[in-house]
Amino acid sequence: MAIANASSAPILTADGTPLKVSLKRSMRRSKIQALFLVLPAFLFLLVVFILPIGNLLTRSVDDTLVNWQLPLTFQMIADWDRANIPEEELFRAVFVDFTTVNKFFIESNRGSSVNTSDAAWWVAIPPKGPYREAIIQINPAWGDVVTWQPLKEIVDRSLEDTGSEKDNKHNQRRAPFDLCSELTPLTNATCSKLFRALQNWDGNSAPDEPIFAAVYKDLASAQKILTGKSSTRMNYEQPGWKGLVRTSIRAFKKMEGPPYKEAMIKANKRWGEIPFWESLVLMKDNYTMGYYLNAVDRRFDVNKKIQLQSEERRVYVMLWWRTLLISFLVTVGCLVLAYPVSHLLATLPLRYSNLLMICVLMPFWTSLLVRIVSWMVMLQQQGVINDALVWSHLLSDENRLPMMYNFTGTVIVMIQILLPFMILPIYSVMKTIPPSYMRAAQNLGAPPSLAFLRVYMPQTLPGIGAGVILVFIVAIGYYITPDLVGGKDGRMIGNMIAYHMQKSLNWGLGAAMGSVLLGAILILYWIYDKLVGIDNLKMG
Amino acid sequence: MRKSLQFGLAAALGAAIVLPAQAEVTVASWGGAYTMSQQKAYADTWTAGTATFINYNGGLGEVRTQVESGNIQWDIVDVLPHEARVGCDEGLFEELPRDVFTPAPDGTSMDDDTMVPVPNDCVVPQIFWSYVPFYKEGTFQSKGRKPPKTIADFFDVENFPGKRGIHTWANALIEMALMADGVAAADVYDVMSSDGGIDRAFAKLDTIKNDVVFWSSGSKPLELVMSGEVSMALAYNGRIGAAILSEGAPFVVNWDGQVLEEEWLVMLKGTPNYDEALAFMIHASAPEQQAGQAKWINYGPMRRSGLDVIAANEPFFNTGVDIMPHMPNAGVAMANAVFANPDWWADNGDAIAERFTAWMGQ
Repeated sequence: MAIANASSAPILTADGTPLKVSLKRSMRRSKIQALFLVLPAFLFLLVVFILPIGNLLTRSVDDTLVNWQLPLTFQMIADWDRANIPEEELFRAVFVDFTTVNKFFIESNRGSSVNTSDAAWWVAIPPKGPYREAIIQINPAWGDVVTWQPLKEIVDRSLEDTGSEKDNKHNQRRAPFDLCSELTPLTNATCSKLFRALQNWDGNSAPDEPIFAAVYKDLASAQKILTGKSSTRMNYEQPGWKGLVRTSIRAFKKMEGPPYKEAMIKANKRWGEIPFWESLVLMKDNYTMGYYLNAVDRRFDVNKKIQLQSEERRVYVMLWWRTLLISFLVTVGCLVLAYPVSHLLATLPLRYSNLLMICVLMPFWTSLLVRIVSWMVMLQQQGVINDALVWSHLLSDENRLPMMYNFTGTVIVMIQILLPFMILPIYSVMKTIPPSYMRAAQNLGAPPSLAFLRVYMPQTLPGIGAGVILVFIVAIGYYITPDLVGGKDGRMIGNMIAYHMQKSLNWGLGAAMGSVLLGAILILYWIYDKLVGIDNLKMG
Repeated sequence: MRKSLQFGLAAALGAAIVLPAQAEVTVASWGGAYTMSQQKAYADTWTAGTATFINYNGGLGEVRTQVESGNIQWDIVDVLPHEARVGCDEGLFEELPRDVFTPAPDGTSMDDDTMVPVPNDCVVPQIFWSYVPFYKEGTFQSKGRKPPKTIADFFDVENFPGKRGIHTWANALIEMALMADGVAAADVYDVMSSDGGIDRAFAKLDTIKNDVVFWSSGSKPLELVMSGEVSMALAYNGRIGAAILSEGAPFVVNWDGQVLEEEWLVMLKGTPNYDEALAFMIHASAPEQQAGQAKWINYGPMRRSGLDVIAANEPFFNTGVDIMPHMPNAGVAMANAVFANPDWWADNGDAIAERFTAWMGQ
């Protein structure tokens, strides 16, 4: 009876709460604890992995900078007939876009929201002042204290005493940058004059002429930086923009006033060339697919139709195929070499296999450059292997084999470098296969080859899968090795990405190529999952 | 007792805050013998602070990241002509006051003392270096011919057999190909800007295409020539010079058709060590220091007064030999030479890079 009672009533714990509640509570607590345990890893991933990839993806389509620089031009170029040299009106827009800072004061200053009939665009701020009146005429909000207060706050915050002299100095040094990034799309422009002017302002009275003078001068120097950056961008679309902008900026200073068309063409004849105007049409949206097209040797024509890149500049498709081919050959090569070695490692008695394992791992611990250089010594035409072949009369001196600074060299060196990535997963899987299976198969009458094919090999597949994926993914993004040993036909897409990230500074194109690479890997991963199943993957 | 302890502590703390920390400046440069020369000539002679050199691979990728994120690790960078212009245009470098730099002994300002026009206010002159062909002594003797002399000979694999070592990017190669094709040094950039000029250069490059070994790091061409892998190669003149002057390597340089490039110092915008970095740049660009680096490597000072110091003090090199004959920007070396035009490369560099990569891979 008592027992029956106890079973129907809720079970209580020692402190009187029902067991269910108490259990739930303790489960929740352990869940939260678990969450805290993974939190550092999650934050780490977020900061070093997810954010940069997001940044990469945005960069590959982002075209806002040049839209900041040329708002009027891009709005007006829609009306251009795309056949003749544009009319005076468009030349005037270009002139205004390059020489005035009005864009920084106007709210709808980019893309399709630009209203060219708004008088604010055409207000001329006198270069020698007074500035206040003109700036308020452009946008009355600048006469209002409220517009200035957020800027004043930035200044005040940077002047707060943090208790450490180093931090104070740092904050004051960064404040002019912060001010400019508030007013412009640039993070590397300095509004130092405004910083000083705002220090003298109480934050409540109407801002006076010196503050307006400071903001004008700072924005004028920010405009110079914006011009530099956008001319770099424009040069990607049409080679020659960089020089055109540079010489024009100098010429603009001397131009008195309209008409501009003739004066500009006289200053630089490229203003009279259609391709330059056409390239402007292609840049006029905040987002562009142009970088992705460039990454596969295509480009937009003036009507946004996709065209092939001019023949001598077609290079990326070839590099993509070559990259896939090299990665494939390297993967196959690694597999062929790694399989027997792993088998040996897994089956030899421990003292031999340990020694062998050290031999496998030794190159892993050796500097990459040392290994590459030793391959150069081995494989080059005056190298060890060729010398040996010539010495043994297998080759004549004139027909030494080219095995280095080309495709072959890249494949050979990469196979050697990536071999451990294949051996280790396969070995760790083989290690778990009991030798008795093979013996059983042979006992049941299978010849060794059949026993291997039907019994042993299928069990090693998870290791093979892991090794293949690992090696292929690492290989597809390689660039240091191909750079050193690739020579004329062994360089890969990674080399071009590095070139655009470090040298040409075309981060948009580099990011687009990186994204394509990421996409290619995800697709291959998906195919692998469909064919083999990702849960079959075993690293050990 | 307690009071005095407190006072002592306060004084110690005060001293720690007031005493200026020894100025420390980080300079990113190219490494090897070049950085060694900078270390000896600029850093070791600088008493106001310490300059630490770190190596980088060129390009402005790293600089742009640092400046735009505000997380600045380097103070000064040693840059090529193209980067010197692009970086200043894009606002990645500090614009420097020009009147603080040491004038030449005759009073000429630094900017007027520099052998090429100073492109902007961000840069401080360093050195000239060049791409130049060279070969190992005796390479062509055994074949019973006279040794190569001109840039045309470099592109002539019939009369001067053997492979050619060239770099994996197009700079200087376009200029050299045109000079080898008979274009006068003064006209090279006019031809490059004209229709078909680039085609002409690539057509000339095609003539050695099958005999080319590409290199991408500066020490490689020396190894290639030394081992006999190639019979002639292009290399940075300083690398060849260092091998000849310091190690006695049997290399012969053909100055004909060399392409000179500028090297500048710039300061990263927003660096916390502005004053110290500026002090170091003033020191490193003074005529004495400009000359001083040539004690260790044969790169030519950009300032005329630097060259004058060297010429007046020969033998100037640390091993006690004359260095002037090895300077890329003086004497016989300048007879048929081109100063690389960064403005042309700024306009066309990317397009040419793609074309050159395509050409390499065909």
